[in-house]
Amino acid sequence: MKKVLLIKYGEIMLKGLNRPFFEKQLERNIKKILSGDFHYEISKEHGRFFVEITGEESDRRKAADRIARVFGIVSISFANKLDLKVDDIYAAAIECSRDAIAKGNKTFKVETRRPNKMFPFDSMKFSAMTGEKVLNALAELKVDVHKPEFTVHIEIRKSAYVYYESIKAGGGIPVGSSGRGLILLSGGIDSPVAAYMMAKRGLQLDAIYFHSHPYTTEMAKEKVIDLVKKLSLYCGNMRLHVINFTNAQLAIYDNCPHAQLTIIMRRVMMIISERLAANTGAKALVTGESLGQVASQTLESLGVTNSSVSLPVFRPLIGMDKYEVINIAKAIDTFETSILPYEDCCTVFVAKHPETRPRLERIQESEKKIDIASLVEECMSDIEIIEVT
Amino acid sequence: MAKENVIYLDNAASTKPYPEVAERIKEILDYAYGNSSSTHKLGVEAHRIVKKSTETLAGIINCKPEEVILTSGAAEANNMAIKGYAFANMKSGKTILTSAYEHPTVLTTVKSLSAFGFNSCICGVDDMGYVKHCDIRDNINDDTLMVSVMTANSETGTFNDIGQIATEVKAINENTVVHTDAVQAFCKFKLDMQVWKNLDMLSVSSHKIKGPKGMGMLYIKKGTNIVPLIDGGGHQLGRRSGTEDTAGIAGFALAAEIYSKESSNYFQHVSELNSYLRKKLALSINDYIINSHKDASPYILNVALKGIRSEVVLNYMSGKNIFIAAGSACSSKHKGNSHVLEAMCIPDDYIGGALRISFSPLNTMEEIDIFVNELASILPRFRSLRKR
Repeated sequence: MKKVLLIKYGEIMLKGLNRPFFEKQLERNIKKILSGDFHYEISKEHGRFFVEITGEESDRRKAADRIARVFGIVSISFANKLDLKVDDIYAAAIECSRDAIAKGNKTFKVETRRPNKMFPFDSMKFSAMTGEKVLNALAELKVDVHKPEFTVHIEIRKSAYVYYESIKAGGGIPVGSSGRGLILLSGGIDSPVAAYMMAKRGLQLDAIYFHSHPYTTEMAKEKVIDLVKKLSLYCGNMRLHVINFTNAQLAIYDNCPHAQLTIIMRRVMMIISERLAANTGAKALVTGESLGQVASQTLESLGVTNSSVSLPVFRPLIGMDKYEVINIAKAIDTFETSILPYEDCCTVFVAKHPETRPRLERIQESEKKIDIASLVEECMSDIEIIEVT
Repeated sequence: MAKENVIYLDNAASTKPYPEVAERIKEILDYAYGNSSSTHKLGVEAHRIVKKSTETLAGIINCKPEEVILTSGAAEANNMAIKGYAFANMKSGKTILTSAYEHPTVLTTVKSLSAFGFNSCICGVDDMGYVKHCDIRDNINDDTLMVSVMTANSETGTFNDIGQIATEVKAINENTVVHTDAVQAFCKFKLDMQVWKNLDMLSVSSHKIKGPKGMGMLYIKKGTNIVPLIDGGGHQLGRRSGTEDTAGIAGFALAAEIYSKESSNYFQHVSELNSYLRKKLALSINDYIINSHKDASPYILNVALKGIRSEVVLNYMSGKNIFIAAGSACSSKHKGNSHVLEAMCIPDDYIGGALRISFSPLNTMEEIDIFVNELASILPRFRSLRKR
């Protein structure tokens, strides 16, 4: 009997002929997240990966937690792998149940899946046979097929797998299977969540951060680096591009109407991001905008911002309220970092009364007062790149 | 960073250790790593080093070695003095008197004792930055357990006459003990416990005088009773348990020895730097006020610039490898303006633009020139940015 992690994947199963493409990406991502820290063997059977971790039970648990962050996976089960011998399977089912009882469980059922049709008993029958053996061995247990406190799962494949304990994973599709995107990270609560959500849809992400030294503190930049580190647990390796944005910001401040500062600044940020995307191979920009959250995220503002670029802009939080976003931020452990108070020192770049219903023609008129092309060029020539793995 | 050419003007925050201190620490880590409580040769060697270092430190403030408790820094020393004395003497009084511009390790500690039935009385500061003696005198009564007033203020350098304050306190209530946080004065000025006879406790730190971080001491006059904050193996006469950090203690003692020997040379040098900076500022920039009194410690100069946020200057200077401190901080964990300058009632247009420049004997006039020139060149840009 061997202890293995039984990995189930969800949405990939719905794929047709290109399923192998997704499976290969998923396998690469599982290997990448385990590499360096674990000795393991990975194998695949229809709809499942099996990972055998060398070491103690605690290593297996740690590896499972790590794998749970790989998108494309729906759950990881702590399974016993056995030869297809009925008595061994019964014994493993009894052992699982004993363990479950020790954790305070009293009712159970047995569920069998039998992709291997060579096995002589059908699923229903084998579940019943195993259940009976378990009941005979452990008198304190009762069967409850509707709401059992635990379920002994048996999978009959080339080998048999018996387990009752699983952890949930994030679902989605493997990072890298949808191409490359660029996340505009601010250091706030929203943008890391947006990155997480698009990684879940398979985007491999790089990040861009606009730093306005000396009006933004070095600590703000450190915070963004910390956020990227946390995100990389889900998103894989990320490259953070720090743009020296000060001169662009000052030019906008000095020349444009103050009520339009934020909207013009965001448009310039989008233009720079699109330029960078061309260099990194990103085919989409990702932002943490949510409709109506602040002045720059009204429908009109989003429209005006959007019109500065031609790449698709993904806004996965657009229809979410702040509490939903905060809950995800807490779940992915970015919240505590995001709320560190290293915001901009100089709030002068935010107008007292920003326009909430900007009109594109008027914004474009204001933008004629600054040389956006050369500001963008200047920003593109001074990028600090930080590799986060 | 260490190899770059830097101008370090944040010496009230921390200092670069003496090379000989760093060497001494390494030497002890390499060869005298025994536990000072062990009775074998290596342990005895460590014990000797701790003993000799303690004698050195005691000698610098002219007290007995047994009146010294070595701590992890001034924060612990201040906590030990205030909490330790309060808990040991709960029957003698419930009121602790301190000033509005103390270091948070004093102010917060005093306030935290309200949860244990103590009262805090916070005395005011005049506009020159001195704690008002009359406020102290007026508030001493039979219930006053302790007074804690700092020797030199960490943001402005202002000196309080602690010897005089202690004498005034004892004249009203001889049972009230007097503590001072002397972090910014230790080794820079002669602190003589035989002269300040009415002072009962004094806290100091190592890393402000070119010693290692994580070291400090509390002077506690013989007969002053405290409850230990850390119980255990009974180290340091049972007042602070925990294996002694032999290397750190030796490094601290060596730094204190060198610093105090050189103190008059240093004093002269930093006084010249301080007055040069004052003159240079007067010639180069406008709309500023100096928050450090002319009689303040020359090691610190606090300048408030009108119409800017000080952390923007700090960030800008940092980008130029010039390191200073800001008196206001939206970028640190504590938002808002300096409580010290607020206690001194510095005007609203200036308080957000306060900078603290603090010197070490290593600083030069050329460094002051570079700093002021940078400041003068960027100030118009910063001042042009106003929220509209």
